[in-house]
Amino acid sequence: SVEGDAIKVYVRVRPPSEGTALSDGDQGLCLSVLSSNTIRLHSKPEPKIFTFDYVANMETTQESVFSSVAKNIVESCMNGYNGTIFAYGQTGSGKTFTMMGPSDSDNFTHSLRGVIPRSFEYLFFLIEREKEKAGSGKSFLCKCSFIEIYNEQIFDLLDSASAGLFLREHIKKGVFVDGAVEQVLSSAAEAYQVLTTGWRNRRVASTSMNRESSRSHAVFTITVESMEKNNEIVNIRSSLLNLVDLAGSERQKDTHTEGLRLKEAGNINRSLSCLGQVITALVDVGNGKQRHICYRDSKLTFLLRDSLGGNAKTCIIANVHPGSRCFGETLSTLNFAQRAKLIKNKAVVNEDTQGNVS
Amino acid sequence: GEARLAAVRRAVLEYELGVNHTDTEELSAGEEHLQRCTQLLEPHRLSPDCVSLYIQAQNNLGILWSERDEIKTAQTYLESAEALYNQYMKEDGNPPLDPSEHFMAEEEKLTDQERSKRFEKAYTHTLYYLAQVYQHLEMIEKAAQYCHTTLKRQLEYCGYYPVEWALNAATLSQYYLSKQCFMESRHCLAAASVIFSQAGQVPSAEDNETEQDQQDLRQRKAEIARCWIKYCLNLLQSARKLLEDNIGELDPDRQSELKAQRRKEEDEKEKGRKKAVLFGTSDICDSVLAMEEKVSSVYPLDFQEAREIFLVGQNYVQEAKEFFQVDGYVTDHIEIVQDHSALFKVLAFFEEDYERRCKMHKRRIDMLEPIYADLNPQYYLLISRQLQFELADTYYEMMDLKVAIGNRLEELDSHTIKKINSLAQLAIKYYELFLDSLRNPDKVFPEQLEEDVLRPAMVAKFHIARLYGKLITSDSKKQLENMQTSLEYYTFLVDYCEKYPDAVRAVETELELSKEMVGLLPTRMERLRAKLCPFI
Repeated sequence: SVEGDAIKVYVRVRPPSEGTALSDGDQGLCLSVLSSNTIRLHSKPEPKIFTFDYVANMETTQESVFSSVAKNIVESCMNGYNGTIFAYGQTGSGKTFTMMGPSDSDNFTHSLRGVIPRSFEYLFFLIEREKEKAGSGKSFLCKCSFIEIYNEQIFDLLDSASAGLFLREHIKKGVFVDGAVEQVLSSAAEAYQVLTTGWRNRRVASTSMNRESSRSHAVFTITVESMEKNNEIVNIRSSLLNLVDLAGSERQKDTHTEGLRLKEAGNINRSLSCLGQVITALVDVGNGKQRHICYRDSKLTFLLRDSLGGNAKTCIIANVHPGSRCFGETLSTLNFAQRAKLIKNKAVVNEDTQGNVS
Repeated sequence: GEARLAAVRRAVLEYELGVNHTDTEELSAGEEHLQRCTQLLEPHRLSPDCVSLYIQAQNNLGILWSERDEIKTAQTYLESAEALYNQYMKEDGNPPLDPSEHFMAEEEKLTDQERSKRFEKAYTHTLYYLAQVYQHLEMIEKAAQYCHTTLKRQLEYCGYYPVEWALNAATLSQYYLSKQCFMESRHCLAAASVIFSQAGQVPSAEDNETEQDQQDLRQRKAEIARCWIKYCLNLLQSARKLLEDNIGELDPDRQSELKAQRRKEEDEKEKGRKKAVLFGTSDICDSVLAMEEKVSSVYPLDFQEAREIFLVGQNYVQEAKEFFQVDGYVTDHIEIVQDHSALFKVLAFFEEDYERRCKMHKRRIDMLEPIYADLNPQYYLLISRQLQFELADTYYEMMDLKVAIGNRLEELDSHTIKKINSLAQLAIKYYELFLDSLRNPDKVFPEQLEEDVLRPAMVAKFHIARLYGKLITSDSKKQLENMQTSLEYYTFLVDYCEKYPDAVRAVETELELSKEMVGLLPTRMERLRAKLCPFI
């Protein structure tokens, strides 16, 4: 459907950390939630109003975030569509709480568990229901992988011994991480088990290899395969559910999203390594002429190419901290979220038959 | 005297403090120091011991103001640095002192060669920052010009990595393509190829290149090949635009006119060459020129000329495919195949013989169809749509050619009729597949089409309508059915545009013809029906 293709954007406002609201002077808050889809940022001189698909205020429960954000995506995953849920926001804005739940506790049973454990539960609930409905004719196979992208290198979080992995494409299976471990799942609890193991590995890696988790993206992927036998015809369907924890948005300074800043030339390095970016930008504004740009997408956008528009269901949860100290980051997160709504893979169909209508 | 020396030394310290502050995001403190530095140097800025420092202070002020999102202010600093360099080179030109030398013992001082190298590098940075400033200010042409000059200076002063430089030059060629500056585009590409070939020869720092490095190198080579493909394609397509008449066929009058014009311009060609910025010193320049000679940069005006460019493009298609194989690089591989198909398509325009032209389109079918059959639309929906449309269009074009060939015959033979019908059916099949891809999960066709698929979807409907009208049958009942289907598709266009008037702009010609057909067809069908059942 027409509006269903666009990326859905949700904003969640976390409660201020204890004490800040009081000590921070004038109210201490830089925004207020006006309704379930608008937010007002107290910018000067004029306040700014943002509209999103859904805005969760500080009181919104984990359950209600899950139902409005993820439920739909898990369902369409059962119908053979790929789905992706991104969490975005600065470090400390509540991404992990939203996605996983309270830190350092068994989130799988905790009443405050996050979107991910709830998605697992719901997915396996739907699978069981399907199986019951279809009887022996239908079977399911779930597999998962968990990778981390740090500094444009890919690491397997389910195999801490592995070196950097590569992205490849398969004509039938799409983009995949070559050599990534795939683990078979038979229940939500098992899925959660794999996730936490990987999450722990991520922390270990970040201390031992000097990589900061706030600078890396983590992608947890579940493949759902269903096989249905109808007399002689075997119908196989497969889809992906990607759960993505993006690097802290404060790191976006390092990339071109930041705006007008000039890229500096390294003082020692003899290369002006960003010149390519400048030239690429010039070519990008070309006028629809056939051209090739030598510089690839980032690993993350390449991996999730299909999720950014096309025939996949995608949503972004933008987490913000309401403290006035975070004003700058919050503004840039809200701006990003607003831009995200416009992301769409364009179906550019070569169609130049104008002279040919007679 | 003493006072001047003290002032200059203080300026060096102010400069270092300024850079230190800006590096740690203390912008206002940084600005203060840098300002004081330039004030101290102002009276001496054209002297050899100050000019380099002054330029670098201005560079840093440019960066500082860009961090405050004040690009215009950054621009004034950088442009004045640029002007100072030019004035100094005109009035003095001796290798100036490097800022680091002010606190060096006499015996440590740099050689003239090293001084000049550092000074030129500071100025290259000025140009590089200006390229960015102009890009941010959307002065695209100027930005491209500064990128070009930066590349040129990197080459002159040996400040480059061959692979990186080659990729930048190849990418810049694509900018020139979009401006239809084929000579400049070719020059960039030839230089990219020449410089890239150096990369293979230079042993890398560790000497034991990993498998990954080799792989990277092969990929870069393939990327440059892809830029060449686009070059050939654009040159051919632009020539086609110049030469085609209002129904998309080669216009012989226009052709001879352009040929005459070209003979006249040939003499002036040398002059034009001098205007372009050339890369490299004599050695490199010779290799680049030799590389350039392998393909033309002027519009091809007949089949022979077009074929030569086509063949160069086709060679690069093979080269690019060696790396971008379908196993592992699906998207890239298919894009290259699509380019290959586009090369055939534009070559066919120059071919006068219809049978041979048809064979060229058949080649396109043969390369596109198997890939389409294997492709999973769940992951490659957009490419899948492009292939559907392109296949449909190719069959459509072939059918038109067969009809034209048939029209020259006394009478259509059964073989030709069968051929026309089967091509039309295949075209219909792929247009329908394309339209089906627009349906939602419940298989419902969208009420309102999205902007990006509006025109292709309408053209698909329109072409299907036409194709049903072209099907040849001796069975009148069947003919009536075909006319009925045709009418339905034409009606779709008319109704849709009535409901969504915004769509009219996208399909003006098609709509006009559809309206006409919606008016005509019922009468024709009535007549046919009367013939069929004369008694009712």
